[in-house]
Amino acid sequence: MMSSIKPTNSIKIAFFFLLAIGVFLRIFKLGLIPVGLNADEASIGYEAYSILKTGADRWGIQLPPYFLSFGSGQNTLYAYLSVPFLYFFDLNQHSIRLLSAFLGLGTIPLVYLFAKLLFKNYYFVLAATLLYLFDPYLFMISRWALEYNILPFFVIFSLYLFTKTFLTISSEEKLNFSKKLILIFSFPSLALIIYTYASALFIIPAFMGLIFIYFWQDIKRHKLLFSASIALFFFILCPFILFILKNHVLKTELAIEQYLPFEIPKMLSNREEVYKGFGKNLALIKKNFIFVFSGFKEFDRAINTTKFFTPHFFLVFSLLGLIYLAQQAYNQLNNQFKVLYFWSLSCLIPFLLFEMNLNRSVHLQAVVPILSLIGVFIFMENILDTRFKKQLLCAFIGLFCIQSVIFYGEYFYRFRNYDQFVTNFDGAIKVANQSKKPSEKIVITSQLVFNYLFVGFYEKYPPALLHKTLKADFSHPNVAVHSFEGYYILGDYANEGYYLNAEVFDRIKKEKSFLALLAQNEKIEDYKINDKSLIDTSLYSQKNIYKSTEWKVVAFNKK
Amino acid sequence: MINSLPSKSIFYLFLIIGIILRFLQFGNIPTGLHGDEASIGYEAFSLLKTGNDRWGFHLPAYFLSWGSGQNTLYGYLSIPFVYLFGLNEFSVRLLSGVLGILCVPMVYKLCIGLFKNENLARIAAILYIFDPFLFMTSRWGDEFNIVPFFVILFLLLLSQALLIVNKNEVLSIKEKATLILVFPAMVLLFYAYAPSLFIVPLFIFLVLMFFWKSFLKQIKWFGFSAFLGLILISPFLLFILKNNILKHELAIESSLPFSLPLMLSPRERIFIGIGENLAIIKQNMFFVFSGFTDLYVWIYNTTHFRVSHFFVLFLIPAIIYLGIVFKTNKSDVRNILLLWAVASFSIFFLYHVNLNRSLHFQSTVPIIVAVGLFAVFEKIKEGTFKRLILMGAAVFFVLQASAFFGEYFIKFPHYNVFPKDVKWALEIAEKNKKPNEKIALSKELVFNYLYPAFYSKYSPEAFQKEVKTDRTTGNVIVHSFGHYYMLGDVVNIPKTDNIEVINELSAEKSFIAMLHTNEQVPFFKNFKEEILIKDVNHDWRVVRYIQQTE
Repeated sequence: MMSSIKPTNSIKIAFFFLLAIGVFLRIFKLGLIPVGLNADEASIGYEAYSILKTGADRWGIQLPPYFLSFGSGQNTLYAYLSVPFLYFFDLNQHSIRLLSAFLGLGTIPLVYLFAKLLFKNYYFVLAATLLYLFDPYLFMISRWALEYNILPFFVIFSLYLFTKTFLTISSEEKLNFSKKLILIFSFPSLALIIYTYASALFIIPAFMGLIFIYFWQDIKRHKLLFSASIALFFFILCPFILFILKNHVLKTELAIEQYLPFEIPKMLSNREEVYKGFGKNLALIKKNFIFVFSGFKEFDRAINTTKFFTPHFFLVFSLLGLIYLAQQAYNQLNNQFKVLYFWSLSCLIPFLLFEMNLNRSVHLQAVVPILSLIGVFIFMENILDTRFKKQLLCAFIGLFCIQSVIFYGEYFYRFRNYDQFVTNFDGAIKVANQSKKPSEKIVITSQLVFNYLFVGFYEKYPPALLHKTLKADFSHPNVAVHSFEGYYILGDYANEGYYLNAEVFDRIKKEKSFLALLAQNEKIEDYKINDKSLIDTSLYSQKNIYKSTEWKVVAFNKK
Repeated sequence: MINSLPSKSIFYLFLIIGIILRFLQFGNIPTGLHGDEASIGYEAFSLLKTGNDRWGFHLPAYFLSWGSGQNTLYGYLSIPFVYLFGLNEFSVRLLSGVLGILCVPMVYKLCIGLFKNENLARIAAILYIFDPFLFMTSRWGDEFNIVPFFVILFLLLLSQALLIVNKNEVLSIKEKATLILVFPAMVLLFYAYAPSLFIVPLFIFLVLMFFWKSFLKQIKWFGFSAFLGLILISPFLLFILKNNILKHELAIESSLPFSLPLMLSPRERIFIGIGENLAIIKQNMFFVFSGFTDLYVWIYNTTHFRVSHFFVLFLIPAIIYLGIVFKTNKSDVRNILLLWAVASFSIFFLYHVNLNRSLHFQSTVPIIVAVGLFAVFEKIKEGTFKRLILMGAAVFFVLQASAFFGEYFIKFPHYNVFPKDVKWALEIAEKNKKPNEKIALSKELVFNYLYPAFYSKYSPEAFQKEVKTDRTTGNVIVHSFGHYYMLGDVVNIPKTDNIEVINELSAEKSFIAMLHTNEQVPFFKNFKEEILIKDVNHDWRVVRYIQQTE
């Protein structure tokens, strides 16, 4: 496959031109689109802020390997890596999304380097880079701060290190210092993938198994270096392994915990969504099958999709790419593809275990553009008629361009209105704080999932004060936050459904006056137990001091 | 060429599976009866019994239906089925099923004629029989579900005619007949579905542009064919003249053997948005580039797996291939396929298109996809890789097809666009009805009056005599006929209550009502509601309202 061809100057210019457009689109209106803030972003942002200020997470747990977060846990790497951004740019929508954008763009040169290992034909290298840059899903995740939005970077990083290592070894080159370094970092890079998104736990062992089986001779020849690499892998992963041990294996406190420089939180509930349906495999496989064969279409979650989230006609070529890789592996040809092949195969395991969606399949999505490219070019390579080949290629490029134009139009004009991102809360909370008298408390709506986080995020609430004054019910599987200095939380919608902080109402009743930040249609008198309002609002005079399409701030004064 | 695939036996195996699937649970799935089906069925029944449609128009060129009109061909062609099997879901859907399956041999013949390649013809036939969208349209009785048959029939006759003419031999009787039937076949498309008005003239224009020499060679027979076509289309032309151009009664009407009903309102949805072209084109591009994913509310012809849309990708090489053919020889008969694609695609620039509205185009998609597959595979190097991707494509096709058919037979019956249990509820209402009691029908049931007419095979003469309607709103709002009273109607949006009917019922001592399970009727305060049947498994409840004497 793939004779070595050097591109002409005009191709190079076209490449740099498209590269510039792609990079521009990735950073155009960054922080502003998606409009608003997602609860996961608020959570990650406040964790990072808390770590920056106190060295502990929002609940006061010292440097945890996994956040307790909403009770069922959250991966930590995004927040830890965001700490420098918060240090320089403070806590806001821009700073918290910068890491995604930064690593998203960082993936592009990595893809270029990786593609250079895979393809001798320089056109393929350029095409892989561009396809990666313009992939709608990878584009979307690079613009906001969900914990695993940075996963593609670490996946490509890992695949590059492994491919480079085994190519170097098999070419019998003497390993110089930089190549040794690449070898040593190969396995530890996998640990970073696990810290980014724990569901990699189901993929990494299979991947490592395949690597060991197929490259055993190579590994044996450099056993010292590989031992060091694997030791480093386990060393980095050690906190996470202890966390798993405590939460999923032993399910008790560990004796060594007190000697550790970090704390291991005990989860309040399982991350059920990960384990959902385990065992009901046939139904699951069918569901996942629907997902794959509809061109990775998400039917219920639309955070990282628009109607045209993917130029999905191209996805079918990833299947062709995979078939080709299998054929090459079987015939012991083109060994540079082996690592990519093993990774892709390992990524199929979760499809047999869990209900998949775009985010959960991000490990695989991270290599889909490259697989598709291999598919397209293999297809083209096998077509004999040059004229027909050229026309076909032009048509595909045309299709790709049209789909891209539609996608970006949709993203920049329509995606902004998606309702998974909370808007205008920052304005409301700001007005409430400016209008309140020093001793007055602010009552926070129950109509916002993880409401307290938005307060923490937008107000840059001092984490140390939160740790000190927090009143919360940790017996609730999602941690029911009741109050912290200056704020009362009426209740919350969480994964498990709605709950009401009845105890908070007794405390609110004792206040002479307070401000309430409520949803547009929310009324305090509607909070009832046995048909009796928890607060008798006829005792108060009310004054609206802020109104947006979503929120209002009302001042309550006892008559 | 793919020499060994598909072998004859595999082809027949697929064909048999395809035919079984097309007729499996026929009449039962889709479960329930759609308002359009009830309408068409009752029109056919009425024509059979009285020669008039349900409103008493004698052999109309276009049905008045609920006011904005409905195409007639389905209704007329269903008459024999209704005669043979009575008026029911099965008989009203049978035409779709029969014409749908007849498409398959015609597609085969069309491909043999155009491409002289048996394998291509077999693949096209298999793709056609398994195409999810065409499969779905062949299983229920909406007016446009028979469009694919007439498109293929027309293209087949036209291509055969051009091939015959090009042979330059003396014509046999069969060949003459083929030539004569070309234009009448074309005319039937107008009666099947009105968007043909945009597509067919453009197509004919393109065909004449490139094939006029062929037509001239046999001008006598083609002229005769055109003459027959003209006679056949004249009722439809007069209808258009009356409704869309002159907008008043025509002088000659009284002497015609058929009638030309005046519509109460134009069929707006066909003409919607002409002029707002850029926005429309954008919307339609969404539709095309999502692999014909129908995002519209009418989902009766789609499931998740409606189209093996990765196969749609092969439209690209097909168009390239057909483009090369066209460039090489403008009067190559294969160009017919390309010209039809161009003409039927023209509506994508005129108005909002969805699966049903793009039926003219969709009718040829499996054939074009087959051409694309061949164009590509013909040019792929022989070897392991070719075998691998061929196998891959076959596996892919089987997987997608099984997913689709699983979805169709297991999930689709629960789709709510086909009202279910209406027959059951009506039977219960009839059984419980005392001699002088009236039966009131829910306004939540679209075209409610058609259901009792359909299920009880209500005598069309009696219906025409008894029916009380309000025709002032642009729609025919039925108030009552016989002992059936309509509480309201959803023809008008928002749903309207028939106040006259409600007043009339309020004066009754008691009456029966068929309502949606959770429907609230605020009008009968003086009545006690006695539940005759209500359970969680059915969509409707049947109650008796009894006047409370004070």
